[in-house]
Amino acid sequence: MPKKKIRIEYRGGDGSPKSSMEIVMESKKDQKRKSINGADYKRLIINAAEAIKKNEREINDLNVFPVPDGDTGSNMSMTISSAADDLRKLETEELGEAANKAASSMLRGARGNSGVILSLLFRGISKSLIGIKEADGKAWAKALKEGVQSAYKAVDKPAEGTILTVARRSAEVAEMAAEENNSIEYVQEAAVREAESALDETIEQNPVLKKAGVVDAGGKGWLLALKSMLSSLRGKDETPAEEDSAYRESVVRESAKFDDFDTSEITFTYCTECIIDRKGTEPSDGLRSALSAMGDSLVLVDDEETTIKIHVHTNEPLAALELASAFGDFVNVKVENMRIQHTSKITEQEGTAATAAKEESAPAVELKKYGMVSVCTGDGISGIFTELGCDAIISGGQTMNPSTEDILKAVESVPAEVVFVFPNNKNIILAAEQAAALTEKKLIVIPSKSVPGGIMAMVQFNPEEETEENREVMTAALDTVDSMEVTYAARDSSFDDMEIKEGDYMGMYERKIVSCGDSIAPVLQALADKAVENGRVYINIYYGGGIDEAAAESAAEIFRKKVEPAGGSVDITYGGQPIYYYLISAE
Amino acid sequence: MSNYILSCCSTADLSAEHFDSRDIKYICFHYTLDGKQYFDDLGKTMSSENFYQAMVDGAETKTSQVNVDEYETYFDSFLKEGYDILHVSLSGGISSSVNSAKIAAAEMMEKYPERRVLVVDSLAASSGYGLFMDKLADLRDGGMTIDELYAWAEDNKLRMHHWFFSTDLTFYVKGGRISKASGWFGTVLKICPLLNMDNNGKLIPRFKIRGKDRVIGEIVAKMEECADNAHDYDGKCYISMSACREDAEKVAALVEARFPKLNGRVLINNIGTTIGSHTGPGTVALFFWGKKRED
Repeated sequence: MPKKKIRIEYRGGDGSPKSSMEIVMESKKDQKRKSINGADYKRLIINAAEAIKKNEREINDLNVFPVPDGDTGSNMSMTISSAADDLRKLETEELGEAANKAASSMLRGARGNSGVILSLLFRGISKSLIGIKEADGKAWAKALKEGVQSAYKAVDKPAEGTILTVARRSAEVAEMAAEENNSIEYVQEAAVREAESALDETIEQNPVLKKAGVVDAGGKGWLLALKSMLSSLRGKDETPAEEDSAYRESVVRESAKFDDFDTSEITFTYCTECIIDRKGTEPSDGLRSALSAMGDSLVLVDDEETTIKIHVHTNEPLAALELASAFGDFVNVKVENMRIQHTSKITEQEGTAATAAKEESAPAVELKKYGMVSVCTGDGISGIFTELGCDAIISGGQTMNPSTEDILKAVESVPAEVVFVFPNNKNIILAAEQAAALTEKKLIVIPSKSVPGGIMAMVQFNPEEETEENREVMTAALDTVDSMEVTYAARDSSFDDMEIKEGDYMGMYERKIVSCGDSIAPVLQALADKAVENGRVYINIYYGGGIDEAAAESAAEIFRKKVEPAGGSVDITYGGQPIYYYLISAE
Repeated sequence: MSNYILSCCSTADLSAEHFDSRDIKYICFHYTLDGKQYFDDLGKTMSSENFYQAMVDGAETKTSQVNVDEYETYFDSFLKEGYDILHVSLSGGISSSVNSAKIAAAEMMEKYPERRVLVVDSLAASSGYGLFMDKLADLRDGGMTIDELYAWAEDNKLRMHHWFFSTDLTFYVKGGRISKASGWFGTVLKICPLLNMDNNGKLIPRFKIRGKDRVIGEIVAKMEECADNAHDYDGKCYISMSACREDAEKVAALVEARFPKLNGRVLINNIGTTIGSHTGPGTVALFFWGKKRED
């Protein structure tokens, strides 16, 4: 809390100092920052991005599994940086506009589960701030709360002891603080304090964290964001983070290359607004969900008696208006083509050449019924997916979680009406589901958590079958296969009574570490035992880029000895994947 | 002794001895191998082994159906002796020879107004078609008239089940039977599609099974699911195969173990040169009686 020193001197009649005392005054509410506008918000977000970037490594190190995997810190950093980059180009005093820009950039730039949740927090915040020029403490607290609601909604089974808990508790306290003092700084201070204690408690709330003795990585990221925003409110901006390029490189060894993402892309063309003179008091919940399915940026204000106000970005403005008209007569209707608005803005800024190129419409392509998109690495694995009929491969998964935008771009590139997406990683499923809301195509996520799972599911694809039937059959196939991985420990760690040393071989069965050590054979043996124990005897070993066929053959031998007596068989296939010596499927 | 001829095409994939012993007449399809024309004559001019080896070695094969003129000559040979003919043709879902047969039949009945030539589209192929013919021969020998047998054939043809798999899809892809992009093709993963014949007599890929051992188990499981009386099935069971006798024998052994009441042992035939030109080596097909195929 900022403090102020005041020196009080008592002087004698001649003016000479007699005595003096120094008192320290805590700054009172009138000295706190009252509110923020768009320019301030821009600074807040850039500041938060810098803070997370600086602490990326620290957050990554909180990841419990010592797996060289898509890391929370990197994902959050890249997600919020996409907003910071866009905001740097935006000049606005309007808070609502800045918040909307930040949210839409993050939504598309979201990577990994933590990145998606972060983007949803900011999406909720931006929804709450639509049309608002400045936010005081109360408005900000309300925005934080809406952010939390939007994040909770997106997660199927919200677990406590995660970023969600930290965000929820801090928002709750912020709301109370705003009642006491309506300055944004006061509210943010309260939010930060609560986030700190909520974060500390995550250790106790989540058994996995408790075992490892760490706090939740995503929660830590949110605390950092709140904290750095507070410093910014107090006028202290972060110094720009120096890119720890060597570190980032080590994380992004097999990174996806999607540099050319045009952040100014608009998904929904028409900003559609209307005011309805209500005929009755029928609830508008159905209208709300219908409209939100048709587009985004939906704001629906209903006083339940006289008026409904609607704002939505959609490609179907007439359908939206027709739905609304069921509730009464129009007082006012406005439909604007945002692409044209947007284009003229670009024209002003960049001249016409670039615009002309963007305006060129894509040649009409005849759409096939089904397309498939898969996330994976390794030329062998990619080849298998392609042979199975996959149209587009997004490089990523193990070390780099593709963003919603990456997935969206791949889906858009497939000339099909229905596109099945195979994330092949637990940490990419949410981003893929988020992409579904941003495309006009029917995007169906087959929630595969591993490459072997994704392959088994895609094997079941039948071009002759109906969409729903395919979805069911492929999703069901995920349960017919267990997935194993053999990799190395990225750092020292202890887990479930296992002392894991950096560089050790590590065997995982269904994402749980079952064995580790400095020799690979016992690790493979432990996995083979586990597979047979689970009744999975048909084994396929995909060997990685650094493994030669002879080594793969001896790995197969270990499995053969175990599964053949149980009536199974073992195949080896070149996968070419990095990081994982072996990816193994067991059916 | 009946007064009509029971006839089919060489694509019923039974041995010449089998056809002769059951008194089933057949007309041969033809094919060209590297430009030279051969009759699909049940292995007389070229053995099954040599034929598939030639395919593997890259020989170009092309099949051609029996044309109207050939049918007329063939039918004529029986009609002039005073016999009626019940001709059962290869599935119209995979060949248009049934149309040629019907045209020829109409022509011949004009030429021989006293005689009758009835044509049935078997909606069957290979030894499934053969097993169907074998049953018709039984019924004929049991005294059915040509009309009764024609009606029975029409009523029961969809009860003949065809399930088959291939461990080598090269020729299915080459012949356009399975598209490489459709996802049915997976050599790296050793995907063996399990196909069957639908109620229009067309070949439909139904399931993708990984690995030969499992597809062998799965094809027999299909028989358990679809055969009359399930494990108490007491009809005949035929298999046809293209240069993969070992796989066929595994299927046969499994069938004989699971269906103790089977009528005789499982008969293994070669997939003849006509059907084989499309499957290439590595296909095993299983045929048995069940309830009507519905899709």
